[in-house]
Amino acid sequence: MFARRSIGLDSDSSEQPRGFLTRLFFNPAHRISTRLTREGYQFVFLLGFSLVAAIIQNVNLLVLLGGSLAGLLLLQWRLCSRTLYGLRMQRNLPRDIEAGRRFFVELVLSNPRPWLGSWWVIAHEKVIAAKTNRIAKGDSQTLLVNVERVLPRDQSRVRYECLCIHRGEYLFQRSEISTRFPLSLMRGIRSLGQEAKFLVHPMRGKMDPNWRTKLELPRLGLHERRVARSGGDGEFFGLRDYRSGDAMRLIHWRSSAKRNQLLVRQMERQENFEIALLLDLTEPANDNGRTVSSATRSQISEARMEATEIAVELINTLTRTLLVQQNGIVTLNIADGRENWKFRISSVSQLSAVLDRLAIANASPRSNFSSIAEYTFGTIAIGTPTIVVSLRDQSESGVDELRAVSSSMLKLSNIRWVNVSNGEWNSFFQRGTVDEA
Amino acid sequence: MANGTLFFSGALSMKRDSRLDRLCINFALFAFIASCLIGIGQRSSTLPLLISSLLVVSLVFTDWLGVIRIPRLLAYITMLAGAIIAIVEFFVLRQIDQLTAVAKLLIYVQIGLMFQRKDRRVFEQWGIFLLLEMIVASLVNDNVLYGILLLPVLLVGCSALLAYASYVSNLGSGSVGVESNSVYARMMRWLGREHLLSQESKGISMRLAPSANSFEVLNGTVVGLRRATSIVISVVVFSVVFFYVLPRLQSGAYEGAGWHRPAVGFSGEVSLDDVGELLETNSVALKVRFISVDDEIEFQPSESPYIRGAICHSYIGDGHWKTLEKGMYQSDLIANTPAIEKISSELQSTADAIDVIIEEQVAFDDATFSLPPFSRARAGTTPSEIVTYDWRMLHPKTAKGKKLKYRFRTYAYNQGKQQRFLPVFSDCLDSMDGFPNLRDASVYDLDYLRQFRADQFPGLLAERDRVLAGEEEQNIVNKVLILEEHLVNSGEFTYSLAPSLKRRIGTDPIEDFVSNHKTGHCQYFASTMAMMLRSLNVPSRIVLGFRPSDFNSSGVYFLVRQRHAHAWVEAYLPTESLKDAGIDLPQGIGPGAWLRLDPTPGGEGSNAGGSIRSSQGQLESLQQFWQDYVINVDKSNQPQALSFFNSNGTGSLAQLWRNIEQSLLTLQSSQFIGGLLSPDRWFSWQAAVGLSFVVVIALTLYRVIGMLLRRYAGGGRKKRAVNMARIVDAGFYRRIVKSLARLNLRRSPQQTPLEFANHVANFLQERPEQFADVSADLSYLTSIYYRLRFGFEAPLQEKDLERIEAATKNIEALAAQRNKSTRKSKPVAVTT
Repeated sequence: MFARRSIGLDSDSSEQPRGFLTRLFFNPAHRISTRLTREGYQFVFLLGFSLVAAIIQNVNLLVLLGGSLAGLLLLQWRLCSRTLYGLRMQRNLPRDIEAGRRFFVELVLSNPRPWLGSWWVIAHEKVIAAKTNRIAKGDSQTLLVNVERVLPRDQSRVRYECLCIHRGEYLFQRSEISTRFPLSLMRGIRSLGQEAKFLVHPMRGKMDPNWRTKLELPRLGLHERRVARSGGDGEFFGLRDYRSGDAMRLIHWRSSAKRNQLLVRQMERQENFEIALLLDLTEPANDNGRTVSSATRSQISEARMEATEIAVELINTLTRTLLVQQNGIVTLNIADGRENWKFRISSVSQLSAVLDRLAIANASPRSNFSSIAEYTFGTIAIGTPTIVVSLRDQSESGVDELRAVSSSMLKLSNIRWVNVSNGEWNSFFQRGTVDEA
Repeated sequence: MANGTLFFSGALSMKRDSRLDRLCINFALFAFIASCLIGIGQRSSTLPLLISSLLVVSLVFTDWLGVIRIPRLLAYITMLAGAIIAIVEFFVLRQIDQLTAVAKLLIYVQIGLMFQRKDRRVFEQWGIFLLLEMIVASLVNDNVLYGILLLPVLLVGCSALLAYASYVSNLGSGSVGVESNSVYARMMRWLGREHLLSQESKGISMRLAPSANSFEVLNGTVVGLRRATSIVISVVVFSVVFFYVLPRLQSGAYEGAGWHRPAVGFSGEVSLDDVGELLETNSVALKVRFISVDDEIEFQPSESPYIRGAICHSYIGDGHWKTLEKGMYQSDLIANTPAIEKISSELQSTADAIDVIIEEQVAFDDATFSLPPFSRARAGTTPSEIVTYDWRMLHPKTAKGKKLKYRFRTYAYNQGKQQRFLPVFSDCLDSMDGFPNLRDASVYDLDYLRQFRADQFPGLLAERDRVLAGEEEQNIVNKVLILEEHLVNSGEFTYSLAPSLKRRIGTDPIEDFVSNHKTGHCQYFASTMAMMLRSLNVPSRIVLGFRPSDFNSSGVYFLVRQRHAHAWVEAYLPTESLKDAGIDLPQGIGPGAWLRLDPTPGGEGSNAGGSIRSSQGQLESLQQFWQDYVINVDKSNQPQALSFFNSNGTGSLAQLWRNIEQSLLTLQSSQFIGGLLSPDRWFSWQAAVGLSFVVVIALTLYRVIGMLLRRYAGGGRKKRAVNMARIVDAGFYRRIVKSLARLNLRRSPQQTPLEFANHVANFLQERPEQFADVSADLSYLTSIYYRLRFGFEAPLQEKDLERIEAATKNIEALAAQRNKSTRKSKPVAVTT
């Protein structure tokens, strides 16, 4: 199902050049280039041959034949560019894209022209990892998608599947459409729009059923209460009317059919609590100044990148688990050298912003952990359980020193430090798997 | 079974690709029609039959059933073998058939392609061979059927290309990989090669959704003859205009070596066999049109005209006749063709004034054709010189190898009948003014025309004596007529085109003809007659020419084929004897005149009968039209070709054509822009500069007109709505973000549009003296942006679109105004 994000790909009017002459000759709205295809080169060679022979020897039938061939070429030139003129393309993406999961992209090709259709339009869809995306650096893929025809004042849709293994920022490069219509002698090529960015959220893993025990957090949260809420696990609580945003899976179809209106199931929430999560992506100090070979440095770098992914994935999974299964209120902060962002969320529908932020989180040697920790603990209630997922040990983080000098750090009475670099996460967390290609 | 071996398998269960099937059928049809073009050129159905049968077999057993598929290597070997056979034929065959060998080569190599598993490579190669075949077909054809078949060829060719384009486009769909960005790849991409995709990326995977191709399957209405028809109509219009507008660089259009048998029998020396060969050749030699001058309408003679070509004066033996050579006559007997005014009034008053237009369809290097006595016509061109003693027009030396078209006035007809006598040249003139060297016909050494070796022709003499036995008292004209009558009507002599079968070696062919087999064609009869006359001391000569019998009543002209060649005799006889014999001669005839004698009897293939076979001859007319307006268009007649469109018109369209014709004439005559655009100067630097200038002007005009049309002529509500929708889709939000960035108000990646809008609003409110307050506009645009970006894609109303544009322009104006005012000052620093 498409919870769509639409990206219009028509020529950007902001690209319109200034100046009469520039507009006259270099107007991007008309920047439809035509190139001979391989068959076209052969055709032109034979056309030239026949015309030269016709002119030199005055062979009138060759002039006639050459004229016909030239006519075909001319028609090809005009048609292959005219059929692309004014075409608009829109790309519909799912709202949430998760690393390792296939997602559908829908291309909508609209033809606003009143009389001329478009045929055999090939869209060159190129996805590349953004320069800021360290883990997927250099990844790119191109897919050719054929849109059979777009009738005048009509639109055609075509879908393709895409899968990005790594989270982060990706780009749909400036899209290009081309057509060989009608005779395959030339290709009309037109570039559409600008680069369009999209974020791939981190992968979702699986928490062990006894993760709380293993994390030594036997009792979670403050202010326990029992309310009915939609979704999640738990005992059946009742039915209520469908509201916009409710998941399809919660619809109680039998009752909806009886009442002729959509009803969703409400489950009894077991408990409600508040918890703080802190993702510390500060890179550990570098091996005490020892000189290391480039190979070792590369290994270390790879290991850190891997640890970063585990940390992000763990936080993602933990947040979801807490929200969905444990009915919690989660305060999440990320220390990765970027500007501080604090999230306080209590439902899955608020998760998108968190995932967007997690998608671009990267390990950083520059530590702003202390300020973020101070800021975080300044805003939560005393005794709030806190899980810190970090790339380093607690001792390296300076938390203990902070606790001594900062009043807010006194709240750190219920902290659980998880260092993903040492593999302890294995006992309570299972990483997500990638969909089969 | 692995590809690479000939296999027979149950391939019926294979999933069929409808695109591929359609493509195979289209290419097969194209190949068949192209082979028909070659077949028409060769006047043979062998190749079309061969190709059609092979195509049917390959379509059924290779493409449909899939049971015969030869591997690529074997196919190439087959093609090579075919090529070798054709090349050997090329070197073995005569020159005129060498193009046929090339055509065969192109057809043989297609056989290897037909029986391969069809893929893009096969179709590419097949397409090239078919195009080459079309080119060769253009070289071997002069038949109007080529033009008629060109339409279906274009239709099927376009259909094949459409099917190919559909097939190739679908073939590329779903291709996935990493684009190469190497210099080579980029250069090839610039040259038109499609994106180079290498192996699949590890980090990103893309593929078409399973249903991606099923939503719209092309059916026959999309790719097929219907669409091809519209393309072909445009192409035909273009190619016709192109054909007539492309200036020809030279006179004399191309003629294939095999189009016409070379014209023989009209040179200085003619043998009996030459005439026999002529009579067996069907190709067109002349087109002759008679126009009655008085009423300016086409004139149809009541019987086949005798059209004079070459004159043979001297028999050199063994069936060979020769024209008079230098030394046998005085060179001052060559005179200018007389003007109408020079012709005697007596002759003019007794003869019908008829203009004859002769269009040569084959180049006759040594002969021109006429109907004496004649003069120049008032219109058209006439060969300027004639040989006075035998009324022979001289072929212009500058026109050697070219097909001539000329017009003259003949005085040979009286009351619609061609006269039997021919006055000597001087008797036809009013005065000798302008012909100072012209003397009496007696200067013409008639002794040459009396040469006869009695020892060579005993049988002929015996025959003469037998015929004239008892007629000794008759005057000479009557004796001559009796001899003619004997040859024609005695029944002893038979007309045949195959006399050589009975010929005795060692005997003179004429003597052999008279004494033995008595079977021959017109040259035998004419030679016999001439010899009999000479034996009677009557000067005689043989005239070689045509006696056409095919009259095209649609086109009102005689179509003269080489088989219409004819030989007859002219005998110089005393005027008095002629008058005594009842031949009506006009006044002013001198001592003698020439009498035409045609001793050839009628019979199968004989041209002596004189009856005219009149026919509508639609195909023939079409063929002539094809010859006149397509095949023979050259530098000299290209402008006149347009006369077809305005020949009898009086309206504005006809006037337009006349103007175009006049422009072309001007262009051809090297007067246009000082001759700069004359075809003669096409390859000069001036022409290059001129052409570049024209191209630049044309390009600019094209762009300007397109821009103006888009701006002013394309109006209307829908257009505006489309444009406005485009503005929205194109990213009005990007426009305002870009504009605000000029004020250093940049949106950070983490900022939501709403946060950014608030930030900008605060910024503007803090500086009311510097900036107009556009917060409302910004707020509105932001809400619309949210609506489009995250909403339910509810369509925007037109009023929304207009307001969006207005608000966007307000913000852009703000940035532009700020830019002007701060151009010399520092930009505003903003902390975000």
